Parts: sequence; C-alpha cells; structure tokens
Amino acid sequence: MNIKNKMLKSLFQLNKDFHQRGVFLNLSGPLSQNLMVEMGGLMKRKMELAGSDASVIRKAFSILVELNQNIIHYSAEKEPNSNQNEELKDSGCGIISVGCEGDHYFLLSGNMIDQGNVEKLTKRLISLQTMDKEELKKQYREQRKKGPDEDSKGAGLGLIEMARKVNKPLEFKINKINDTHSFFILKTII
Amino acid sequence: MDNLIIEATRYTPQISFLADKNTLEIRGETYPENTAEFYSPVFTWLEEYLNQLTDQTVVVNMEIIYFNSSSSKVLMDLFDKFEEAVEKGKEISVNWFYDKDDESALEYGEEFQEDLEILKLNLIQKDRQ
Repeated sequence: MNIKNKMLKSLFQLNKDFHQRGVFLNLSGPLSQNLMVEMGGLMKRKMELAGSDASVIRKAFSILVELNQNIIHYSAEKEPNSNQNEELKDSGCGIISVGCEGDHYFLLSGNMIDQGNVEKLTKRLISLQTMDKEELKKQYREQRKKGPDEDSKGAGLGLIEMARKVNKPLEFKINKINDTHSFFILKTII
Repeated sequence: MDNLIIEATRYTPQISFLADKNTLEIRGETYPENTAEFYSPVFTWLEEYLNQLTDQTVVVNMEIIYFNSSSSKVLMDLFDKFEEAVEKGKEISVNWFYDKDDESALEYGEEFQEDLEILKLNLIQKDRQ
C-alpha cells in the first residue's frame, strides 16, 4: 500500500473510531472564539433535533465555552505565526469532541500542557472530584470573591464551573509526552 | 458626563450606561474572548460615574442570558462596586432579571446575593419574549 492510501485508510479509521465512540462533533487545531461559537451553534441544533432538554443544552454550551477558553489560554501548543492574524492571536491548539454515550452527552478536550503544571492541575482536579455540590458551590463563591491566582488568565473558575455542571465527577488523564510536555484530556459528562 | 454605549456582539452584551438618566443596563450574553479587556472601559466609566454621583437614585438593570466563568467574576466585581457606593450613602437599586424557563437563572442571582452584605438584588422573573 502506498503512503497516500495509508493516509486515506487511517482517516477512514479515525472517523469510524469517532462514530463508534458516539462522537458527533469535532474541532481540532488552532482554536478560536469564532470557531467555538459556530461549533456551539451546530451542537445546540443537533441536541435540539435529538429532543434534549433546554437545560442540558445550556450546560453543554457552557462547558464548551470553558473548555475552549482553557485551550486558548493554557495550551502549551501555540499556532505558529498566530500573532500575524487577529482571530488566531494568542490562540492555543487542541481538540474538542462532543458525543453521546447511552443517555448522556459528553464533551472531551485535549491539549498539550507544560510539565511544570502537571502537579498543580492534578491536585486541583482530584480535589474537585471529591467535592459534592455544596462544597463545589462554596469553592466557587470563595474563588469568585478572592480573584484569580497570578498564573491564571481568567477568573480561575472554569474547572469549578464545569464540575458544578456535570452529572458525574470530571474525569481526566495526563499522559507524559516528553520531558517538557504532557497531554491533558478532560472528560465532562452531562 | 458622557453615556457609555457598547453594542452587543455574538459573545458580549449590550451595555447602556446612561449618566443623564442614571440608568445602567447590561443585556445579553457575556463570554468575551478576553474578559478583562472587554470590561476595562466599563469599570473606568463606572468609577468616574459613581464618584460624581450625589443624591440621585440609580437604577441598574441586568438581564443576562448567559455568562461564562470569567464574566461571573466581573459581575461580582460590578456588584462589589455598587455595594461600596451604597456604603458611601449612594442610592442604587439593582434589578436582576431572570428567565422563568431557565431554572438556573434565579439561582445565579441568589448566589450573587449571598455574597453581598448590604446591596440588595431585586430578583425579577421575566417571561421569555
């Protein structure tokens, strides 16, 4: 098999994998606010057609916004030359997938992170996983009053916001790629 | 002083801060790409406005359909500014409009209220248009 055919076959396989896992929407590459809004519109329409509750659709949209902003702000992989383009300025690269699993929707995000952030992020997520709704609410309000940490580019509320919206605790996986970078995957189930 | 009018975009709300009418309104969705940058002129204007205020009554109308987490912080900061002004004796009435079909919308208003000491938010149900 020549290289061209291999590539065609692997893309077919990739697409098939997504289908088998229930993924119906994917965005991968340099992310931008505009792309995310388009994706959000499509996601909403798909969920409406499937007869989903308005509250579920609102939650999904809200999680999509937070995942996208996390990647834009914190992905260690930046679009080369992004500063030459207004839309891609400060953009980060990553992947966001939306899918359906049984009677739940899920949103997945994946992006590179600096090795130096792994420990802090892991601790933070484990701590959020153990909190119940009331504790999450308390954390959210405390953090909102206090304001962001120095290394935060937003309000430092995105992960708690998502933890409050999901039906099951946030799931995550951090795979070490090399000495400087890891790949961070976050799964939210609604 | 001049009014502050910022037209809505797909992810930023309509801001109508009318100094001549003492009515401050924020309506729409708020999830800017860069929240601090978007709201910076709003806070600058507000500071100047609150400083020059004497005994007029100010009405604040907030009808926010959706806010992301960083906008949530900004809204809290806005309420804190109003609360400070009320502590200094200014008359400010804040209306938080919520959609009756969105069961979380009232809760959001209540959560802001829980974090304010003297500023009272009027939580007002609004029928969807």
